[in-house]
Amino acid sequence: MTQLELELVIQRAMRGDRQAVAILYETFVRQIYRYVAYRVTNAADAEDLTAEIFVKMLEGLPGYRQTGAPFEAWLYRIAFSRIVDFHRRGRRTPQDVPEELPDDSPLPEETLLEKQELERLRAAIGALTDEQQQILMLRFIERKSHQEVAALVGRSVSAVKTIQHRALVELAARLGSPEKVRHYLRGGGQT
Amino acid sequence: MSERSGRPPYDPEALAARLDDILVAGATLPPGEDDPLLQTALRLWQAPHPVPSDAALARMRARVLDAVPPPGLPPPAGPLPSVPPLLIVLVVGAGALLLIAVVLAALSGRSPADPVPEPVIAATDVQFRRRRTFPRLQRRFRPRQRFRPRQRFPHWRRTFPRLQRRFRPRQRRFRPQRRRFRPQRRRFRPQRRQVLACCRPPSPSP
Repeated sequence: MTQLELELVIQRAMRGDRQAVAILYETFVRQIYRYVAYRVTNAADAEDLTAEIFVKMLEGLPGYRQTGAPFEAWLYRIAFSRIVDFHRRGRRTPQDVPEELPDDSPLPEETLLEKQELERLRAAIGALTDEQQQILMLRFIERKSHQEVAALVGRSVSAVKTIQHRALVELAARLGSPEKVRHYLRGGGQT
Repeated sequence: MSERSGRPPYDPEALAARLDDILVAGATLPPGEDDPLLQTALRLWQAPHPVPSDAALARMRARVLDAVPPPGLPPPAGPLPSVPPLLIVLVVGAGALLLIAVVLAALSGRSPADPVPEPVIAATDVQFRRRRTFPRLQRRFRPRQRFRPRQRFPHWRRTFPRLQRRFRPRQRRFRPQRRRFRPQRRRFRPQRRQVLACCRPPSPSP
């Protein structure tokens, strides 16, 4: 979807057009879900928070002004504040709903390894500051360039690079070397 | 220093440039590369991405579309405009001052809306008219200062005469006057031997 088409859809959604809202939802739901799923512990919370973010988007649309910043940036800001609220409230739901991963991995061993890797990364990322988490998520999970990340978080490119560097240093210290992790996954008994 | 301690050197720009190169080239580390930051970044890049199931997507979609207002209703208004706190302080302060003025006026028996009494205006007016007419009298009609620090005999000295000594005004410091230098005229005084020489009887000649 081009920027012009997106602006037209946003204007229709501001007037209360359900179809335009559905288009916005389809366009952004996966990336918002990914962004949320790395910051909360289970899929039920991620689903709940993602729906809340889009409902907040609907409530805020009448006051939305197109200032040249990407619409995604506004949406990520809503997501960021909702996640911070979630952690502040300390809401925890029991992990009765299993984490859903893509079905292209037929072997259960691989699924298990992926789940463990995901949990490990999630725990390590969760120990970073909110800003570091946001920048790492946008840069490596959402695979955006430094310029795009800077536009989304409202910082300069050099600031984004600095925060990325610090976050990677912190994350590397928390994760340890990958060789050790692979050894652990093969059943070596070491982390 | 950082290489000695085993930590990678702090250069965010270089790290970002190397990461860009590696990610563009296919997200594989070059052989022999053991930078832990690059390894961590690639590990994050290749991490499994949680994907919502179709059922979850449908549930979220239904919840979002249910929140859309029906087309007949006007769109919800935006957030109320916020009032700057300074304006609130000013309004509250003005209200408090007005309240104090009303209370004081009620206590004094005169409302603030009443005009100023006539004698006050008349007295002020006469004084000012006179000053305008006779500008030389300005000094004379200058209102007295309330506090005169160099007042010699304050009123309380008359009231409390015992305090007179204690609060006696300072005396001036004694300063001996300088004497003007006047060169003394020397009067002619004959020396003693001259006098003696005059009065001495002539010595007998041998």
